Amino acid sequence: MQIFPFLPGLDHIRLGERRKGMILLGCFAPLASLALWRAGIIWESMVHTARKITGEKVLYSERHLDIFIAASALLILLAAAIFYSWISCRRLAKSSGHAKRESQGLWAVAWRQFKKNRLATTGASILIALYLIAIFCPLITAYDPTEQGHLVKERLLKPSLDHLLGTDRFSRDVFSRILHGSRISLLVGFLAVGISITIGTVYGAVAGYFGRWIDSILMRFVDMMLSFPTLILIITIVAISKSQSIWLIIAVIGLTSWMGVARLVRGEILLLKELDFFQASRALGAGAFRLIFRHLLPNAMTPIIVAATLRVGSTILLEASLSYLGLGVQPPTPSWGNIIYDTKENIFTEWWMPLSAGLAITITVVGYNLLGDGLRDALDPKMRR
Amino acid sequence: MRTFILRRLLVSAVTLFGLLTINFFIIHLAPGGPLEIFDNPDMSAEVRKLILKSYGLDQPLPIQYWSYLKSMCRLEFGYSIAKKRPVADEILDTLPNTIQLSMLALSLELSLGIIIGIVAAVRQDSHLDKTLRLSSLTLYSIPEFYLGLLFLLLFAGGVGALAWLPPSGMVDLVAYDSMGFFEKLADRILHLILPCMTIALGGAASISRYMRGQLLEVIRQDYIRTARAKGLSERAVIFKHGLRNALMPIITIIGLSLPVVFSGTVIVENVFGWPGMGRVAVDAAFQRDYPIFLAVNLMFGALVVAGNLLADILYAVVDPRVRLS
Amino acid sequence: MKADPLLLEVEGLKKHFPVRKGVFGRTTGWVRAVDGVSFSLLRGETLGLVGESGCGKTTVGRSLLRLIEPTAGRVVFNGRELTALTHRQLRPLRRDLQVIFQDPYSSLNPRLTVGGMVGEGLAIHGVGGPAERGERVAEALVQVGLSPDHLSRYPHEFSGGQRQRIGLARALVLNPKFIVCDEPISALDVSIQSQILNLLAELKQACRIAYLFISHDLAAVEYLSDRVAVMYLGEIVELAESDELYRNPLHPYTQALLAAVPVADPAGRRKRLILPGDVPSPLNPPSGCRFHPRCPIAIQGLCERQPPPLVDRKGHAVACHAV
Repeated sequence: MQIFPFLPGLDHIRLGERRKGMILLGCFAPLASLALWRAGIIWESMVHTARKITGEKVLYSERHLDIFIAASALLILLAAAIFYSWISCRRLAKSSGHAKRESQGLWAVAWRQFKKNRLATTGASILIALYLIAIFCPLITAYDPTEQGHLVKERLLKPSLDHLLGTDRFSRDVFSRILHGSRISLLVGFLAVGISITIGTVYGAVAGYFGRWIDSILMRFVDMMLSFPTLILIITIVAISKSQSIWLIIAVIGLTSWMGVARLVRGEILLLKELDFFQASRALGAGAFRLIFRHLLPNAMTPIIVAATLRVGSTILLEASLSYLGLGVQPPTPSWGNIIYDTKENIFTEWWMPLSAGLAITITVVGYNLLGDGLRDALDPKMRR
Repeated sequence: MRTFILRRLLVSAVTLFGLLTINFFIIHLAPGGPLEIFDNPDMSAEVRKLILKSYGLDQPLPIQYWSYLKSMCRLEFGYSIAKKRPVADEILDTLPNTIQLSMLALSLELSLGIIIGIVAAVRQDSHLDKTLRLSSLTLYSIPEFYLGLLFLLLFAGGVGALAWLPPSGMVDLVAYDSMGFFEKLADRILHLILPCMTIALGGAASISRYMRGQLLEVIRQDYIRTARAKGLSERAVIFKHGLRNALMPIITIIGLSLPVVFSGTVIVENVFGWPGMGRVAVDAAFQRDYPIFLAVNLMFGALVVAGNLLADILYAVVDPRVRLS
Repeated sequence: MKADPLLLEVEGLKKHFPVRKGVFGRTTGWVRAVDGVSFSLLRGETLGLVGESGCGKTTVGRSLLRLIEPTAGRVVFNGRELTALTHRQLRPLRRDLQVIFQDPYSSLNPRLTVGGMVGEGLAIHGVGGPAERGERVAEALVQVGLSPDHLSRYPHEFSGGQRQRIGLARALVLNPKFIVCDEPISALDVSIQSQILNLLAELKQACRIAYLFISHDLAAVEYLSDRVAVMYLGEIVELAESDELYRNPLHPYTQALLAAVPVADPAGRRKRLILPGDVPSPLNPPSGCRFHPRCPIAIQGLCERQPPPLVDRKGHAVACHAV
C-alpha cells in the first residue's frame, strides 16, 4: 500500500531504502517547490502556447517558447520521478528479502565503486544541480537575460530582492544573465569535448592499431598541433573567420583540442595490442573493425571517460577565457566569460557582478574535476595518484 | 648522446616546418583568403587584381607556399596595416616582455608546485595533505583571468585598503624615468608580482598534484624500503633517494606545460595591460590585422618547440636511460 | 595406428627483429629470435617444443600462425601454403588453427562475457544461427569442464584454472585441427596444472587435434607429446620420438636439460651436468654451432667454424658434430 504516492522517496524510506529515498526526496522537493512557486507562469505559458498552436493571433516571442520548453521539461521530470518511485517501490515491496546476486560486468562493479566515492558523488551532485538550473532558468528568474531595462533608472542598480545581483550598464538583470550563461558554458563544454573525443579516439585508435609508418606520420602531426598554445591557435582561427557564432567557437575548440586524447588512446591501444586476448581474437580470424571496436576500444574506455570529464572542465575554462578576451561568444547572448568582459570596467565599484560570474565558472569546473578524479579512482584503482 | 641531440634537432626542425605549413593553411583556408582585410565592396576588379599581384597572391598555391617559406626564413612577417610598421619590429618589441613574464611565471610555478607536492606527499593523508589537495583542485579550476581580477580587486585597489601593488603595465608610467637603478628594479618587481602569481598558481596546482603522485610512487619502491631498513633518517630517505628519482619526470612536465603557460600569458597580459605579444595578438585580432597574429601564433609555436627541445636534452643529461631508447 | 596424413609442414622458418639506432633510425642489427626452424606434424599428433626462456619457442608458435610475420620460410597447412596467403585469404583457414596462451589473465577480454568470447569464432566465421551458436558454445564449455550457466559471467569472476578452460573452449568451439599451446600451464598452480594437462590429453583423444605444445616443463612435455623438439637460440638442436629422446638424449644440450630435472631418487647418485656460462644474446649468436661456447664435448677447430646440420638418424634427428 502506498502512503505518500505523490512524494517520491518517502515510500523508499518506509521500506528501508533510506539512502535512495533521501536522494529521491532531495531531488524532487526543490523541483516541486519550483513548480508550485512558478505555477502561474507555467500555466500561462501552457495556455499561451496552446493558443498559438491553435492558430490564434497572440504575441509569441523566443522568451515565451523558452518558458514553455522549461515548464514542459519540469512537468515531465516530476511525472517521471513519481512514476519511477511508484514502480520501484512496488518491486521493492514484492521482492523484499530476496537479494539477487546477478552476474556483474565491469561497468556494474565500477558503478558500485563510484557510489562509494565521496569526491565523485559530490562532483556529480554539483553538475546535476547545474544542469537542472540550465534547463529551468527561464522559470527561476523572471527577467529576460537580453532585455534592457530603463537606460537611466535601471542602470547599474545595487543588488536587491528584485535584482538579486543588480543590473549591468545596459540595465540588464545580471542574475538572469548568469543563470542563462550556464546554458552556453555547458553546451560548449559538452559539444566541443564530444567533437574532440570522437576525433581523438578514432585518430589514436588508427595510429595505434596500424602502427609502423602510419603511426609515425599521424603522431608527428599531433606533435605539431600540440606545439601551438591552444588559446593562441584558437584566437588566430577565430580572428580569421568572419563570424563568431557559438557554433564556430564550439567547432574550433573541438578541432584544436583532440590531440591529447589521440595520444592517450594510442598509448592504450599499444598496450592492449600486446595482450593475449587481442592475439587470440586475431587467431580466430577477426578483422580490423571487430578488433578495434570490440576488443581494443572497450578496454580503453576507462581513461577516455576520465579524460573526457576532465576535459569538459578545461574546455569551459577555454571558452570563458575566449569570451573574456571578447573573441568568444558575442553579446547580447550571455556567457559567463562575456559577462565578466562586459562588467570588468565596473570591477572596483560593482564588483559583485564579475565576481559571481567567475564563481559560477569555478564551481562548474570544480564539479567536473571532482567528478573526473572520482571516476578515475572508481573505475581504475591502478590509475590512482 | 650526440646522436640523441642530433635526432631531437632533426625532429624539432621537422616540427617547425610543420608549424609553418599549418600556419600557411590557416591563412589560405580562411573564408575570403588572405585578402579579406582589403575586402571592400566598392573595390573595382582592376584594383583587386593589382593588390593580388602586389602581394603575389595571383601565383599558384605551391609557388606562394615557396615564397612564404622563403620570407619566413628571413623572418619577414609582413607589414602591419593597423600599426603601420613591419610586423617583425612589433614582435621584437614585445617578445622580450612576454618571455620575461612567462619564464618567471614558469619558474615560480615549478618551485611552488614541487615544494607543495613534497609537503603533501611527506604528510600523506594528513589534514594538511587533504587541504592542499582540495585547494589545488580549486586553484586549477579557476580561470586565469578571474584569478587576475580577484588579485586586482584585493591587492590593487577596489575593496579594502590593500592597494599596494600596481594594477597594470610593466613600469610606473609617470615616475619610472626619474628613478635610480634600485628604485627601477623595485618598480619592475612590484609590477611583475601579480601577473606572475596569476599565471603560476594554476600551473603550480597541477604540478604539485603530479609531484605528490610521483614521490608517493617512488617511496613505495624497494630501494626506498632498503634505505629505511639500513637506518637512514626519514629526511635523508626522502631527499637523497626519493626526491632525485621523483624529480626527473618533472622535466617532461616543463615541456608539456609550456603551451599552457603561454596561453596563460596571453590572458594575463590582457588583464594586467602587460605590453607583450599576447596583448598585441588580441588587439590585432579585433582589428583583423592578419600579419600580426599569424606571426605571434608562429612565434609561440616556435618557442614551444625550442622549449621542448631543451627539456628533452636536459632530461637526457639527467637520466642516461633516455639516450639509449 | 594407421599412417596419419601430414597436417603441418614448417620449412626454414625465420623471424628476425630489427634493431634500430642512430639519427635516422637505421637498422643496425637483427635479433635472430627464430633462425631456420623446420618440422612437420601429422594429423592428431602432438609435438612438444622445449627450451629455455628466450630461445624462440613462443616466436615459432606465433609466427607459424602469422600472428607475427615470419621473416622467411614456408608454413604449409593441410596442403595450403599459409605464408603465401594474404591476411584476408588466411582468415577462412583460421578456424582450423587455434592458439591458447600462457597468461590466463591477459588472454581473456575483461569486457566480454564468457558466452561472447567463446562464441566469437562462430560469429566471425558465420557458423549457424544464434540458436545453434548458443548450443555449440554451451557444448564447448561442457567439453572443457565448465557449466553452461557460466555463459553470462565475466572473466574476473573466475579463477586462473577456470580462465584457462575458457580460453581452451574459445579455441575448441570451431573444431580446429591444430592448436598451438603456448606454455598453457606454466602460469598455473601445480595442482591445476595436472587438471589442464589431463584435459588437453582427453581432448586430443576425443577430437583428434594436433598440438604444438610449447613448454619449458620437461615432464609435462613428456606426458603429452608424441615427439619432442629441443630448441636452443632460435634453432632446433634435437628432434625425436618422445620415449627415445627422454631415454637416449644425444645432443649435449638436451642431456644438460634432462639432467637438470629434479628426480625423486634419494638413494641414487645422479650425474649432474652443469653448463658453464649464460645463454648468449640472439642479437649476436656465436659462430658455427651456437652451443659451442658452453658445450662440454665441443671439437676444437670444427664446432666454432661450421654450423652442424640437423641429421636424421632413423627418426632421431640431432644437430651436433660430436655425436
